Amino acid sequence: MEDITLAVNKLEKIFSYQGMPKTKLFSKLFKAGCIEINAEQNLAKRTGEEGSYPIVLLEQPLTKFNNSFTVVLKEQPAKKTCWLGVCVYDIVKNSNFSNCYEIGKGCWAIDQFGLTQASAFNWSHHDATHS
Amino acid sequence: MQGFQFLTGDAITVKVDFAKSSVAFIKGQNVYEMPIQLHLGDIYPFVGCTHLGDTWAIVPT
Repeated sequence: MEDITLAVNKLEKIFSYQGMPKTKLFSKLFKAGCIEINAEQNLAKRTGEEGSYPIVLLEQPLTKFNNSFTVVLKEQPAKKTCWLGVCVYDIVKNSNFSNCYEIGKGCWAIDQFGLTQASAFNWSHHDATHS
Repeated sequence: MQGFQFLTGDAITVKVDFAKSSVAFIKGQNVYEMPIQLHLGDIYPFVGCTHLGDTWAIVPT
């Protein structure tokens, strides 16, 4: 019975996601406090104090039927330290939507290849068991 | 290629392959792929901004 319940829940989740419009906006709820969202312009801007590595999730999860997203950098950040990727919701929620070298578990991403980063791939080692 | 440069106007696509348990980062002809774990819960896209004023904009696709 438990397996059936889990299966039904999974199907309900899949269908509910597929019924949503593919707007792929930044989420107003799933984000660190120091990132502000401008929903009209689809902007996510760092406004808080320096320090930490805050993130904002998109509103919809990725699924087998909706498995990609595209972003465009509207402004070149002065210090060239933006990053993007995919993450496990439950894990980043528990870290208050911050992602860094100490608590970056459950995130897989690349970051900016710029003035302050030697490699775009230094976030790629993050997984659920090692940060 | 050893890295991605996110220049103004650049489009970067992130695509999860649920069959292969991997995620690919695509910018033009450049592709970087890494393994991920899909058994831990719902997978969401995210972006991050390290410094004050850093801004991302999304282009719906």
